[in-house]
Amino acid sequence: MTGSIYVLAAVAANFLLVVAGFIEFAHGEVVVLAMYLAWMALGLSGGSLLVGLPLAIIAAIALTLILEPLTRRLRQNRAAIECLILTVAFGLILTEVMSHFFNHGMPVRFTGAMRGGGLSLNFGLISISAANIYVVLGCLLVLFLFTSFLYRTKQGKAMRAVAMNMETARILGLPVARATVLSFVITGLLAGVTAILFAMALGFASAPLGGVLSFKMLAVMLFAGLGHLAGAVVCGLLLGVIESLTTGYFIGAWTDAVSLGIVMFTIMLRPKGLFGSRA
Amino acid sequence: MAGNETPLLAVDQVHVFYGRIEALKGVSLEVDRGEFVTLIGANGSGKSTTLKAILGLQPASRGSISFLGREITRTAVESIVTRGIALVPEGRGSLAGMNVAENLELGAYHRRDDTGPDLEKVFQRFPVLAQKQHQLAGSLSGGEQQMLAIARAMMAAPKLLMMDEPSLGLAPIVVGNLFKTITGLRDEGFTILLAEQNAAKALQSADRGYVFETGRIALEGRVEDLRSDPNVRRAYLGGQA
Repeated sequence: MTGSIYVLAAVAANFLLVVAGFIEFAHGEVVVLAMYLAWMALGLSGGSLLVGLPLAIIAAIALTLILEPLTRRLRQNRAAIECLILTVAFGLILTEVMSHFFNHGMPVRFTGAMRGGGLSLNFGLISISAANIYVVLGCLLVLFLFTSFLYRTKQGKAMRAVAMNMETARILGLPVARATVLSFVITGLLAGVTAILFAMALGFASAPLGGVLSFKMLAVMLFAGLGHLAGAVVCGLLLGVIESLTTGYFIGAWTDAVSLGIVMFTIMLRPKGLFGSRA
Repeated sequence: MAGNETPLLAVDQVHVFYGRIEALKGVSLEVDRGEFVTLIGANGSGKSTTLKAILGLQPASRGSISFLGREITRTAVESIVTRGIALVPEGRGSLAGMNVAENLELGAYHRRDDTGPDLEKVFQRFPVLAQKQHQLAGSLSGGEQQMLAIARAMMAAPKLLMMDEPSLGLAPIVVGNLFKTITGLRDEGFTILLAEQNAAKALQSADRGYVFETGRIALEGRVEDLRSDPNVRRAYLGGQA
């Protein structure tokens, strides 16, 4: 279910937004580039997941971490729009890299173990592929671990405090700078996991896919309310469901128009999103 | 009183600039272990800025600040908090989206020892906080949030407890309770540095005071002497000389 992917992407971007103060518009491109790099590693290692999966995660963390020093000065000056533009540019660069340096610019395919081994469960006429089950379970697991981190650990609570009230966090002597850098690492980690699950769900990756994911991620964020993590879960799934219904009942080419159109109307009626903005 | 012992906190000729504006123009003060010192003065006279400079939130461009005999003038806030200075900020600074217990927990972030006993003490002193442990800090009343802010600072087991205008925005009855709490803390052995606009209450409770005027210290001394000073009475105590 691509809904899970939208959820993970939007939750990660919302998290970075509340802690670091800007929208990481290149998150989708980071995810897809991590997919490409995993594909490359899988190709070179003969399909070994032990090589491919960790590489996706490390690559995603590295790509997100690069943005920390790049955006630091802008973040200190609360230049949110400029940060957004910087990440848009970063995303474009990543897309170009994907268009030229991998597979002669052609889309890449994931096969075998990366797609759940092609197994599926069958209930009469309904067939659910193992890949889809892994994706949904993987998403749930990640969300559970992430929530546990934020609500049950000292570092997680410190990060929430930084997100909530930076001035108070400083006064309490919380490690604000360290927490901020760690938030980039965590966002990168989430991106890496998203890449793995996306590869499993979709089975392929293409250069434009990054931009599409970023765009839908932003749509989900606005739909739910910027910075609203729980809202991103609900709205990401909702968007996934809306898209599936549209593909099923309308012409496929209209999917994006219908789903994003619904998001657009929601924002017009409730500018702060369904759940209210937290950023 | 200051004598053969090094003061707990020594601020020496500190200047602080906000851009081009000089907010502190050579401020010097001292706090000894166990003392309750208050900074009084009008809005914008530099009391808050002094507390912020001590904590490291506002860098001092000139002068020096030392705590426990060590220089902390250009030290990071995180390090200063670890050394034992806690600030109860102006406006309480509650982490509104977290509950009372979590706020208190974060007050003790830097401590490595068992904070259970201190949490018990805090709940005994402020039963309201014990009752509302799981309630969001943002849903507490002004007076309760002020208690939470003080309790949170106490959780750090600070050697110096600084408070910035705690009575601001509180009803008179609540202010009375607030000062009872603060003097209670002093009696328990906390060293307190309090910046207050409510000069009357501050001068009734503290040991010594410094009177701020446009970024400078105009007068200092034991509170009994300040209370009977005609200028202080006229300017801050609404009284006739």
